[in-house]
Amino acid sequence: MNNREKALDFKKMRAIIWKNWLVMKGDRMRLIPMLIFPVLMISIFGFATTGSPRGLPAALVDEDHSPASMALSQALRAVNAISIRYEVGSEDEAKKLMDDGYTKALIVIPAGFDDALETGATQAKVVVKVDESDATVAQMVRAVLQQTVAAYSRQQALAKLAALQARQQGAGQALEQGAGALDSLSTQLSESIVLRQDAASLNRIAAVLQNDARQAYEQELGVKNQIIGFEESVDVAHPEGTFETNASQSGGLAAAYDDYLAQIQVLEARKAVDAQALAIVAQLLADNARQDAANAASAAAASQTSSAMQASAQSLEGAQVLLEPVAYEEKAAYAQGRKAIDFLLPAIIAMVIFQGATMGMGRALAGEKKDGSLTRVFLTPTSNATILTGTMLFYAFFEGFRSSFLVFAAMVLFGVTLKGSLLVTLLIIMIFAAGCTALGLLLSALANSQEQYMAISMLVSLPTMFLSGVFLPVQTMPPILQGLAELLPLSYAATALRGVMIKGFDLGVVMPQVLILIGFAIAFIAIALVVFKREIV
Amino acid sequence: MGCAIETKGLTKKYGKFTAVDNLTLKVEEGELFGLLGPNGAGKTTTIRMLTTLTPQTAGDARVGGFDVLKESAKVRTVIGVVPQQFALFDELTPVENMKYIGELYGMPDDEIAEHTRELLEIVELWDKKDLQAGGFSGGMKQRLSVAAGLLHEPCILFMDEPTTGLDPHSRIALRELTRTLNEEHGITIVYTTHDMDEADKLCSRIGIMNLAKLIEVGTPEELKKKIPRKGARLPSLEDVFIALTTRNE
Repeated sequence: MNNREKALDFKKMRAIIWKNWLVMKGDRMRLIPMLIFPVLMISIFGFATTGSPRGLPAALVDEDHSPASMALSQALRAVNAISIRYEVGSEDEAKKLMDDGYTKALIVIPAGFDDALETGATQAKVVVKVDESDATVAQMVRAVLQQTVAAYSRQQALAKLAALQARQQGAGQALEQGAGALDSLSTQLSESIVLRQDAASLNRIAAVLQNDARQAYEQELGVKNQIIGFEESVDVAHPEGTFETNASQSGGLAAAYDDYLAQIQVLEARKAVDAQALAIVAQLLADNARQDAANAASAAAASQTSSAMQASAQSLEGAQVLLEPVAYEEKAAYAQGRKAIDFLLPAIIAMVIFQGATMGMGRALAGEKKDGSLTRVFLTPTSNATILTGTMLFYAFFEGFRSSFLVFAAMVLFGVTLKGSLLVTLLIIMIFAAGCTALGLLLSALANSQEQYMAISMLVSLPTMFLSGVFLPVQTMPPILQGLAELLPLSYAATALRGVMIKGFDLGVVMPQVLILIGFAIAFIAIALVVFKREIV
Repeated sequence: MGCAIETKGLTKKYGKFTAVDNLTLKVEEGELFGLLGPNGAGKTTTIRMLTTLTPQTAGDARVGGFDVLKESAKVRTVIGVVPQQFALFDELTPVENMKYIGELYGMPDDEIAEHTRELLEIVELWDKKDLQAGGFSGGMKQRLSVAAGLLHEPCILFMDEPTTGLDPHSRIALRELTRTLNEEHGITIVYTTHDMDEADKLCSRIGIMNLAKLIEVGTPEELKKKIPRKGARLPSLEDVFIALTTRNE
């Protein structure tokens, strides 16, 4: 026999682990529920989170009896989460139903609901009262009703917008017609301008021709005058001489006259040709001008219509933005297409370990103290460190095993997928289980019986579960509670497990949390060693 | 000092309450010493101090030559204890219980196995060696407790009211076992009981405690002479006990 008491005796630790396993194995009524518990938890959470709340009873009071209120009533009936079980005449009747526990909410559509919607002068209101006695259900009912009323409100607003849009489209068509008329007027105007221009050109040409003609006429007149002058200069006394003299002159003049006539004819012919050409040119010019004007008018009309349409679209968008200033769009940050249970699993594991270790450790020391079996251990040369470490190791392995079992059960039953490494997940589970066991040992060391242990552990376990962010978001808590949450190992375990299991972090990323968990385990066991009294009272 | 016990001014206080007051006692090696007293007299607290389960508030105690405070680990190797409660594991079989206790004493496996068989045969539980102890009767559990207390071959055995709640057959069997251990194996035994007849028949010397103090020590015969005879009949140990503990209240 070894008479020496080592500070840490690994052989004795092994014996303690082995004994605890035999005790656990021998007590099937304890072991089986402990193993079933995690599977039960994951099943409840798994099935509970796959569905939405259904059929929460509600009462409806329609004081308006209008098409709008009936439409809202239908919308409310179409919501699965609530069930309009009662439609009563007054709010008092509905309140009575709620008081008696028949409904969780009452919805009143006040008189004037339809008018308010039609005129838009005031907001049409829906009055809702929720039974606050059940906070969870109240929250659920409130959310569902808010969503339904908001959806209905949006639907009404969109209907009004659609009417506005139709009116705007009518205005657009009128604008288009106006643009057509403008086009036609513009064409006419263009033609008239061209014609006026052509007329001016023709007038100028005509003036030139007239000038030519005048000159020709003046020349002709000059010839005539010469002829007349010749006749007047005939010597009546000697007409022959004069005649003879002037006959030669007259012959020359006649020839010149003929030349002039010929020239005038040529000019007349040219004038006719020119006029014809001018007419053709004027026609062409008019055609081109008409075409250009038509194009320009058409382009202007199209541009105006497009601008009008664009403005209309912009104003529609603006109206919608005014109605819904913030659009809520959610995108999966880490895991596309994952199920709710995937997100819940890390928290459930952390909770199961914490719950198992803190509640289960009552048997470990306090229970053995009470039934005397620890006395037998105290009578042997076994150090406190060996007793505590051996006990802690067993329960850490056991809790680790239970939680691993939970992970596998979740994978098999609900097809849960781990984004990160299974090995790192199990490592975190083991470290956290060791820390929780050490905390359980510390509490167990303080207690002299399982009853005392239960009282002490409740003080620690319940606040821990509610402050660690497993059930309620830490961010919404007052600063003092947020500070307290940072002191809880469960918070770090949940963060680390979420990191690995959902976000796919590797060990390096969650190392700060892992180190903190190791620190907690060491601190708890160290404090347990200090407070653990090897004394039977 | 071998396997003797010696205390000087041994005192234990819980706050203002004194559980054991200035106890000075010597138990010789090989003696079967009976410690008697009414409930709350301080017997169990004395046993706990001597077995290192509770530190004394004042005074000294040496068990098997070792100081109970300064050499508690050594004291544990020379003592065996049969507590009032079963103090073993219901879920384990006798063999498993013995193996666990043996390993905590640092005994080699073969030695544990050998002693287990020997002791379970002595306490007549060898045929039940593979059954869970939780199903045993009170007498069987106490016999297993004795076997566990003797596994590491202690030379001093503390038996704290071991026959409480046992039927007459079991009580007689346990008493005979105790006598055998003392007479044949030479084990020093400190035996507390409320059964005066048992103490009378079993113990070579008896100490009577009352109100935290040791009020009388002597052989049963010596103690019987402490009170006057009632007629021809010699007073019984019970008469002595009643007389002494009543006088001191």
